Amino acid sequence: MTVKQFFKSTAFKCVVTLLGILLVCGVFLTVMNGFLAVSDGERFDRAIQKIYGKSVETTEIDISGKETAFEYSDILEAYKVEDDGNYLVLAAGKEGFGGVVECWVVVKMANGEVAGVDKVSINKANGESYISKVSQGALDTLAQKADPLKELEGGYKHGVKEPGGDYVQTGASYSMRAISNAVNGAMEFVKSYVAGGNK
Amino acid sequence: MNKYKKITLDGLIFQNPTLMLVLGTCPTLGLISSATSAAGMGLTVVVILTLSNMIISALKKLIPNEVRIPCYLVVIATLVTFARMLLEKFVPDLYDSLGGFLALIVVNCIILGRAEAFANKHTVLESAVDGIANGLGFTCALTVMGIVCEFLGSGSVFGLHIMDFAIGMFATPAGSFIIYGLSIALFTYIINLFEQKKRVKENKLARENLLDKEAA
Repeated sequence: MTVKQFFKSTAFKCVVTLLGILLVCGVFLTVMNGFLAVSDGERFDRAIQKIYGKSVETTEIDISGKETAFEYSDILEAYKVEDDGNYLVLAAGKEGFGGVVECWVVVKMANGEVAGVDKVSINKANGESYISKVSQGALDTLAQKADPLKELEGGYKHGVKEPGGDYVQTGASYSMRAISNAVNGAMEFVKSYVAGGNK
Repeated sequence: MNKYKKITLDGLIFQNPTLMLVLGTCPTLGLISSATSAAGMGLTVVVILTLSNMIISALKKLIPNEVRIPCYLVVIATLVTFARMLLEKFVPDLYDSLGGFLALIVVNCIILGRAEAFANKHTVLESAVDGIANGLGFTCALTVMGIVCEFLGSGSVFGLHIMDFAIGMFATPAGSFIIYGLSIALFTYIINLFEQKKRVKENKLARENLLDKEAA
């Protein structure tokens, strides 16, 4: 095949068409991403709005140098809520169905000690097909157990291999396991943070 | 019959992608436990299907036959990514509730199927009508099944609590599968009944014409 024949061939036409479409689509998505990308600040504001229904004053906690990597969860961000003295922690719970579930966890404080979980809100759940089945009601139930601390430490042990009990009630048992891992991680982080003399 | 009316009726009823062709089963089973998620998914598919049909129809002479499927997939993937960006920015709750199924629209049989079977053989306008009709057919089927599943499984409709009694199984894919099967059976029965009546009417008309001719 000569060079001239190659440029007139169907193969060349196919490659050019496919690359052309890819280029146009790529440029389109790049431009649109510039306009539509959701920034971390916007995501944080949304989370605050979802949890509190209003904007609240928060102070970011510097988590570098602190224990943030637990066996079944990682701590990504942490804030002290100045309005009520609680802690707002962004934790990534492992052992979900498709990976990790990122949750905002409001860790309730009483007399300078961790008193439980006030609220849980999902931030990101890529790969969790049934995450829509985890309603806010289910999260509230998880957070508002009679004794959440005991419940979470006992009934919701880290990385339970076979989901059962309350996990299955939503129909998204593996995602619930990741959520409870995130909640446990957030509580452990705040406990060790407070125990370290921080308020 | 008007060409556009036929395309619309085929998409909505006679070749309904969900209930007659049994396409797009994965999001159907995954999302119909909530009417809101089902309707949201349906409407997203309407937009993506219509746009992909129009773009593919417009590009049909430009795309070589040998690479048509990869080209269709690139176009559909771009539209799905764009739809994800829009939903995440403006409707975050719906974006969260659709979860992984939103990204899976890229490989939804309905969208690729309509591109291959219809859009690359018809004009842009016809393809747009086909996209809207098929998308609405999918949306209606999903929403109706979603209402039934949510009512039986959670005792609510579109998140509005109606009754305390609920059968938990209908909030799971197993329950969705049962509702899906029953819906297909009911829909097919109604369509058959309709076609049977149409045939009887046509036969009666033909017999009367024949009798008229004999009398003349």
